[in-house]
Amino acid sequence: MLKIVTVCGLGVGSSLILKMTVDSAMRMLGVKCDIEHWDMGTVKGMKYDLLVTSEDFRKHFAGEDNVVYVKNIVDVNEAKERLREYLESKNLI
Amino acid sequence: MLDFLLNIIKTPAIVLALVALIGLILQRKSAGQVFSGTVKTALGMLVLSAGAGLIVTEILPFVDLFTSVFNLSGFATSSEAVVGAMQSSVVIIATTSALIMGIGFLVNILIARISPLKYIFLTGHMMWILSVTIAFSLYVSGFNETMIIVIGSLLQGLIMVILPAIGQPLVRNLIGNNNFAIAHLTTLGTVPAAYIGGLLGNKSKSAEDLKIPEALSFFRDTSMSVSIVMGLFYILLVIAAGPEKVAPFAGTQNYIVYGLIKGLGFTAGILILLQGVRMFLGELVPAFKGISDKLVPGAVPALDVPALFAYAPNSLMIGFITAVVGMIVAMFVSSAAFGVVPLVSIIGAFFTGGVAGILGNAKGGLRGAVIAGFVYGFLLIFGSAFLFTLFDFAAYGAAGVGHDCIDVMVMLSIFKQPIIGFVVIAVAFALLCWAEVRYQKRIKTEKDVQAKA
Repeated sequence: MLKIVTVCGLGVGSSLILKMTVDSAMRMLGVKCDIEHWDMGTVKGMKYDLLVTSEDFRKHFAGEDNVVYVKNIVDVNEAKERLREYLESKNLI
Repeated sequence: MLDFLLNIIKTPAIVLALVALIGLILQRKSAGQVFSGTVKTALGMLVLSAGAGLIVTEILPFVDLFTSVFNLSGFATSSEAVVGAMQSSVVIIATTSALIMGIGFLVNILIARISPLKYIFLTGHMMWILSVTIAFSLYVSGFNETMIIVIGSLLQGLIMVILPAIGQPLVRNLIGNNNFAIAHLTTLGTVPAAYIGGLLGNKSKSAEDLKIPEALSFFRDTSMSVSIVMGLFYILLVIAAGPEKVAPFAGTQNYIVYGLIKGLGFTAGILILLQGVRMFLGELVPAFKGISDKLVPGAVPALDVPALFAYAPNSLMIGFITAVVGMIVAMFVSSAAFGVVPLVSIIGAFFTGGVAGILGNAKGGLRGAVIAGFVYGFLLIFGSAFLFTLFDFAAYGAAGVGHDCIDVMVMLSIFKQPIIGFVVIAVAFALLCWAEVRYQKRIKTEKDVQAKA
């Protein structure tokens, strides 16, 4: 099962909302996954298959290839498209 | 048997777990998910208490030393720490607040369903702080448990739509649509600060045209920023106190090393507390959203403040910097005015000082952002000092810590006289409904005109 982490600064507000959005999007894509929400500091030492966060973290995670960025953390359709692109590029769907 | 049941509803971790259990069942989750979600909610509450306990242990030497060196009351500012500590010390506040949060969800959904204010408040840790604040406020005013729960839930639900509505004109202006709102207990600070910034600013020069060093963005990493700030304050204090005064606390440890480790220990407490919050909200908020998605057509999700960050990254940094300056100035002013010195809230400065900057820039350009950040930072620390003179939080388990959420300060102050509080909330709700109806009419007229053209 794909392990996904959603990330924001404090790891309690936005990342949790994003987790719900990613959860809906992944269900629409039909990919099984386990999602946790974390803060940007803690996530550095963690193992995960994919990290999903908002656009404003692009510079923070620069150079890492298993990261998906979204503009609007409540937009399920946007998240679905970004996730589809990523999963297709990795041949996961 | 009765005693056993009473014990269950008097144990906050279990009350919250039951709220989560109901939410998970309503969402028709699998038995495994229901079980793990319920256990995690209870565990989260216990982790949170442990974090709050550690925060208080680590900050108390600071408070004592600060008093003996400067003859002033110093304390750290974190609403999470205050309410976490109260919850683990006062059973009535803990159990009533858990129910206020649970029933408050439903009141929010009901109001969003039947009134023009369609906001669904999704920032979980702010709901939690609000519920404990309301429980505390009604408890110290002498209401009994049933009344605390009934009145408290109603207030919780009302405030959860009032706050996003207050910020919404500015948010719409910034994001260019009505797709989301902001749900945060700092609205009464950032919004007025932005309007003041707009009044004194100059819209023609935007902060977004500047080049700002990106290095500062690491302050968004809570573990780093809190370590730096609390480490710095603690080390400055032990140096000012000198080795003799620190020795009774530090024992054989070098006094500067002691200061450093205590500052980091405070940060460790904050991180543990946040981990607890993460665990106990992880199930409650999705349950709430799941229910509201079904019951409120046209709902506007009200999100945590970082939803705005991408719209104006430069203004965020400017608001952060000037908020810190405003906070430092307010530390001196508060010491003169009240003999009370709340320490800079670095989390508050970055996340919400940043929002003041963003909204200030939208209203009044670069100068607007600078002023809004400063005003916000000043109000936060000055308000926290003022609140400290009104309430003795230490008597409720929250020693050495004060609030850093302006809406909490306003709410506690007006509810010092509950009648005034109820009237203010009712009037605010009515006015905001009226404003929203007017806005919707205007939008509709504009659309009609466009359709004709």
